[in-house]
Amino acid sequence: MRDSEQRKKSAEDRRLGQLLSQAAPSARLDWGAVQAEAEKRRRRRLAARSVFSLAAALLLVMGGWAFWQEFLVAEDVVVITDDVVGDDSGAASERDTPPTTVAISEDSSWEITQISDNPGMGMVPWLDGHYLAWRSHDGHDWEILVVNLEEGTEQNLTDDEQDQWEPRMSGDWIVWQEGDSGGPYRLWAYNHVSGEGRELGRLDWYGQYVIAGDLVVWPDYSRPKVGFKVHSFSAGETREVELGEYEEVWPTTDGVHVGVQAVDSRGDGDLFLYEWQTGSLEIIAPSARGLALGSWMEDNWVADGRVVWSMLEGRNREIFLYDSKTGRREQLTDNEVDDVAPVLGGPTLVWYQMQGEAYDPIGPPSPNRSVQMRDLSTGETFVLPGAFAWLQQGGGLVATASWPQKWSEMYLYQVESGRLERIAREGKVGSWIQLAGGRATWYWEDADPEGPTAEVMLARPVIPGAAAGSQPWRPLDEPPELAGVEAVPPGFAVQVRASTSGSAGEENEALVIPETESYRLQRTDHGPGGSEPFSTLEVRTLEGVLTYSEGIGVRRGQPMGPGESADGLEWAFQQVVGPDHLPGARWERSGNRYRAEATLRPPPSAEVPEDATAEVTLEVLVDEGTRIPLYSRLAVRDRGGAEQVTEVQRRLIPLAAITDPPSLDDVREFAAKRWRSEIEAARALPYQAVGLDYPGLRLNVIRATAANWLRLEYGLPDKPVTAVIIEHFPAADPEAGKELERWEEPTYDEGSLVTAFRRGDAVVRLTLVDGSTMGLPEDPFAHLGLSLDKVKDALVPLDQLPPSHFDPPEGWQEN
Amino acid sequence: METELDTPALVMADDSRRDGQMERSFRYSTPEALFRAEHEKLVKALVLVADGDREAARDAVQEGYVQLCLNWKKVREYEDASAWVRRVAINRLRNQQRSYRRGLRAVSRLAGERAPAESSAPPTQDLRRERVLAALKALPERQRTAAALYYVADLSVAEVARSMGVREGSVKTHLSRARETLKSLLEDER
Repeated sequence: MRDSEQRKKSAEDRRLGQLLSQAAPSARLDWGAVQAEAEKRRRRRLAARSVFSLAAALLLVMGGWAFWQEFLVAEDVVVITDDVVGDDSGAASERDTPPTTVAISEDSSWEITQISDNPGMGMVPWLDGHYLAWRSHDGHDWEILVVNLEEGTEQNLTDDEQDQWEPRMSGDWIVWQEGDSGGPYRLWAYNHVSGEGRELGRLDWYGQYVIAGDLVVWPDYSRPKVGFKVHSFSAGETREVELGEYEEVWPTTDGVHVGVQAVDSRGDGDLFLYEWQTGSLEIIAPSARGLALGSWMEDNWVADGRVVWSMLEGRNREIFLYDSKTGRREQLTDNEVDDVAPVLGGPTLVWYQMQGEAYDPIGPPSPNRSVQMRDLSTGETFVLPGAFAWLQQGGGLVATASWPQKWSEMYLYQVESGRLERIAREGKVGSWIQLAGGRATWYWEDADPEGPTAEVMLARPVIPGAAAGSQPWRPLDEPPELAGVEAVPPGFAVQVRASTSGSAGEENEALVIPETESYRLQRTDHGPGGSEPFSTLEVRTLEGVLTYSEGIGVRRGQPMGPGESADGLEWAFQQVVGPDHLPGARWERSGNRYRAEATLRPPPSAEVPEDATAEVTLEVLVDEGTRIPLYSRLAVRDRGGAEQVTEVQRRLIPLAAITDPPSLDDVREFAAKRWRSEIEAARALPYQAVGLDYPGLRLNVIRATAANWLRLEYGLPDKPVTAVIIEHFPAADPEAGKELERWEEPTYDEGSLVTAFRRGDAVVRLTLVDGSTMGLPEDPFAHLGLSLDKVKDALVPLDQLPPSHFDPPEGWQEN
Repeated sequence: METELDTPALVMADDSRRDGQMERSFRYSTPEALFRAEHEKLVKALVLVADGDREAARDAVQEGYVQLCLNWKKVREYEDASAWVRRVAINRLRNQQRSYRRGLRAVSRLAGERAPAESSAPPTQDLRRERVLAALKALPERQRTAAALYYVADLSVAEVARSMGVREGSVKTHLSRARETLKSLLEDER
């Protein structure tokens, strides 16, 4: 602003100017990015004529994927090996099918009933068939009560001066423990049809017996060599099986087999499998480390002759499966986090995933503990809400609960239908959940001023066969809330993969760590019309920013301070178009999936016809906990029918699982590696390629493609500008003939002089860039005296050039 | 990411204007010098032209300087290279609005700048900004552009005219109308 005119501005004008200036956020641009973009355009302009670029595009797409594998998938973060199932099921690996967060159904398909009418505490109900049993306090001591749900009748199985605890049922049999709360206890069985009662034996630890099918099993610590006892209801026989000198014995059964974890005080020991019919006992995991951790509280880790367990494998706990029918043992997880407490029912495997912390099966869980579920028949893995899980014997139903108020948040997931529903009641504290026959039972405590009370609850499905695998789409009045990078939970990073279709599409792959304000972002911009793609690798840490750009090298950006990096993080996060950007869109929801359709119209200020509209569809899969879009697909179709699709995938990864966090060295190493690999590829070509030995010029770019084409660019040692381009095509390649035909006569075209000629088994296309057209203050090549003849005379076979000729250019270091 | 900036290399020259006033004209020795000296104000102004869409403004301004690099040999000879860059950027911004597919891609980068979630007590600064942006949005495009360049980029009427490719009289008319509208809409703010 000129001073004279500034003075002319009225005070009112100045106030208005101040107001407007304050409303406009400051935003600076990066001169390096401007330069890089200009150089890219210049190079594109040169390369756009060339079919060479098509192969280069292909190469870079492939290179991009390799990059993803190498840099961004950190040691199988939440993925497992391809041998997930290890059987013939054809199950996909978790690498192919990342975990899906299961959507919560909005409508209820469960009927919740209060069964008891005798307030008590810690009633621990058990459900089997149409019987529901629990311990009930009669004012003096604990008794066993059974309800026939079909008939609505109630029966006291015990009524004496003893305490009876922990009733569990299988078929017609009810088993419970009897004795003072400190133990030891006597284990009883009662057939509520025949009325037969049996004393099974001594139980040393509270609640440590398991019942399934025809068997009930419990530990036996009565002798120096510990073992277990197993009783068959049908045979009326109890067997004692000695295992050895162990501190603890943790048995379970599927009604036919007995699995036992026998361990020392550290949880190290052996895993046994016993079969009732044959009496055979085998060690299926000898000298396992950290064995008992994660499975001692769970019952269903033996199912239909298959055993699942967790133990230390390397630095982490992993899950394994043994199939007694085939004798095969498989490792089901292989990652950098702890996978613990697996249970199995049918093809459904449920376990916890966590990071390094101790596993507490009944206390407050660590914030990073998640419930994982996998369908072993397909390999699909799901994440369920909550931090505690129970699986129905035989599978089919999963219950989960979160801790906030001691299991107050409960969820039921029907495996067959894929329905997940929240079962919670305000002000109630939940309990252990037991599942049977597609139903669930637990007790809810009330914080009564007179003293807490509890009632037994039962959940029955109202819609037993809800639509398999999908939930109906329902219209939404309000667009959904979607979170950005700021919602990434502490201790987590985000892996992002984004692509935009079309000839001018691009691909982005990033690892974003908000906590350290860092990211690593690989971008490949394919450019229009098959022109040469342009790749960058940018790494940002608190130390600063380094960017590698194809053909330009490594540049350093300005270091940043804490809190100043939000823009960059959001950029690497690849935030999709959100609800705020689609005014008037029609939104629908199905679980945690959302979709919207909208017609975008030009704004009134745009000078285009009113019917210049675009049809937009947006699909988003949202992580329920964070509201972060895990997947989104944006399709924009213009009037002419052209469609452009942008897809973004995100995965939350525990920081502990990241073995290769973003580092500025990544950029340096990447640049150096790219340079070396191109040199090696050039030397391996089936023809004798040539380089340029010309004073004042050095090799700045080299790129070989799968089609045995080779491109070399020579420029000034201290500037990222190209003076001479040498492209090679195998003479037998049909494209070589076309190049020769088109450029044999030297031609000045769009700021460069081009010619092509045969040399040995290759056709060489030579391009001399006219430095006076580059937009620089002076022709940077003026002092070189370049001409086609002089350059041709300076061509030298690559294998005759000194090794120093192939040193990475200065720009590959940092500038 | 910002590259470390050096002091702009300026060559100052006197230039005679149509109105007879002697005005200083900046003639930059390199595109980078021009960029360093002027780009921030231009982005700030174009954010208002783009209804608060900072990314669109940045894209447009970057395009202006990319074109400057590509055409420096020619543009450096112009009387006002800065105005040339501004025109490229303004045209780019208009084209963005015309092209929905490109526009949407720019929008897609904006999610981090979505309107803040409703809260019981939004920051005063945000409210004020929203009101100013809403008031600017009410202006026709040319008035908005003229006001943003004049008030925010702090250009003279002549510079605004060259940047928009219109006569100075037109700029004065646009500014006068914009001023009246903004005054009425932003009475409480001032």
